[in-house]
Amino acid sequence: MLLLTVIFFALMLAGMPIAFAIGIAGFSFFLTSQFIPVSIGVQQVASASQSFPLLAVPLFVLAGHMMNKTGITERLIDCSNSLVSWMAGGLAQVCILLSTFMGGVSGSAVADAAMEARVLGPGMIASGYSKGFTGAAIAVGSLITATIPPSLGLILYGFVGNVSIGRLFLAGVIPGFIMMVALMTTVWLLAKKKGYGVVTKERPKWSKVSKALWRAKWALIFPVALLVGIRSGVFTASEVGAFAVVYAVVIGAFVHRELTWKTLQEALSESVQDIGVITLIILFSGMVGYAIVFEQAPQTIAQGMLGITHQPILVVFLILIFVFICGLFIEATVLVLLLTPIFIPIITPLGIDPVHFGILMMSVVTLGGMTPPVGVAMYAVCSILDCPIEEYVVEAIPFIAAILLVIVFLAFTPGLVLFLPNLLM
Amino acid sequence: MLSVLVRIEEAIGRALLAAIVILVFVAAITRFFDYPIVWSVDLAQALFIWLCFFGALKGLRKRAHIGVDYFVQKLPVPLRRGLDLLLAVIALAFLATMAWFGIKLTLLNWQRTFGDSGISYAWVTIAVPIGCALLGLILLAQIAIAIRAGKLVFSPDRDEALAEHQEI
Repeated sequence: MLLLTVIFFALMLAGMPIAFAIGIAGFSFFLTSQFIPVSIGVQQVASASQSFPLLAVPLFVLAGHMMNKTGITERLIDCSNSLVSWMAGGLAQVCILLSTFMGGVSGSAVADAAMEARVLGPGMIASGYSKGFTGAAIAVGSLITATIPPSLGLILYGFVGNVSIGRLFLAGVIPGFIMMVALMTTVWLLAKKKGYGVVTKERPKWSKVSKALWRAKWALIFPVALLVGIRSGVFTASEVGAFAVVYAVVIGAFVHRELTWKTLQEALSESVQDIGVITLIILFSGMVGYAIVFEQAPQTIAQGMLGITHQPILVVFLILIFVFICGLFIEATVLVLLLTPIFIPIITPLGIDPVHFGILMMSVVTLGGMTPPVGVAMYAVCSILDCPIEEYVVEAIPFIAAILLVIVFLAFTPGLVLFLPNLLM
Repeated sequence: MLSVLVRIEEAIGRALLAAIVILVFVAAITRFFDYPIVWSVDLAQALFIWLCFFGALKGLRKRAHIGVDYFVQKLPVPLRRGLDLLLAVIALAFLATMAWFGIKLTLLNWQRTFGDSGISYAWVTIAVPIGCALLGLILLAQIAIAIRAGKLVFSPDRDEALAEHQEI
């Protein structure tokens, strides 16, 4: 286990693609083990793919790409514009609200952040918002996308931790909205201070808002339909993923009439690459998962942690701080795959609901994508906006602080997080 | 010749994804109406590992597999190139070893079938050696190109990667 950890970090810091770093580290365990034949390692890679919940990943990735090709994204932008652009920091408010809307149709924070930086970023900078502020609002705002269902991170957490994905999805709704309110308040306060977008004060006309809402109805109904489908227990997350794709095809081809054979092929092609990048990490991490269980790593770490404190909430905070520090350096998917099987056996005996913990852990892990030194969403946004990382970091601090406050608040309120799953499932 | 291979790889990837969507969708509908088609999900599950590897091939071709270049960016160029080449060779050795043991495992697995479908589990297992071998071939080609052109193998060329992302 020590050798495995050392190899993983050495390769990763030297610049090896993460999928190979994980694969080689995991494989080293089988090569050096006296008890386990090497072919079991290969077997783990194959069997990592044989999980039905995991099929939700390609389906929701494709659904997300389809939304952009079918006019759904564009209608959601319209909708956000007419609803909140009159507020202080209006254009930044649009970003936050759009992330919330996009949360309902897409599961990836990075994809959402990149889309917003491209579509909304130039307009914001032209209106006098600083590049750093624009980047920070977009990148940190995209955390909401990763919390509101469908969320790729929560699917992965449910897959490795054997936790109900339906319950996780439902539990993500309220925290997602709390994050939205917290970030919109942050934008409002900062915009007042900096004098961003405080000129046009005219409230939107109801007729204009209702028209935009009506145009976006198929996009707005979608997340509700998705939750109803999963909640009723009739369909699993993977099946709902397939429905999401079919829904997008039907809306795009017959209702909005914007989807063509060519754009459909584009969506498939882009999705295949995204899926390959995510799942190669998942497959190779199957070997590490085996090693973690075999070496009883959770038990060892649990003993260490319980040596410090037995107070459940303190254990949770210790874990979250540890995850946050790891998240500064390691990409979110990888962290979920590696740490979930270690931490769930630790927190469950302490009486903490793995669904509650999942929301906290996923928020912290995804936040790591918005901070230096290694932050995928941050890099995507900053390079699209051509914004120096230092400028971004200064402006991102209040947003990240707001999110951390929300996470601490959520840690103390399991009843609030678990309200919807307990009520509905 | 190469461009034909790339087109075939792309077409297989798209077809696999589309097939999985249809299979899972049909399975859900038929189950809902109490006429479940069991093999539908099993087949989707078997195709999934192939989709993973074909996606990974495309990802490697487009150099989209994420890595951390933060710490090596500041290294002097010759050192960085040497390290990059070393990593590429290690990854190549890993893929070759996986392919070798994967073939041995597949031969062992030939008898085992998949769920109730009668599909041999070997169709799943064999995806690992074939996928790793193909990844290795692409990596080998990239190493050759990198040596000839004096570039990096795992260059996370951000502008290039971004150009890919632009189409979302």
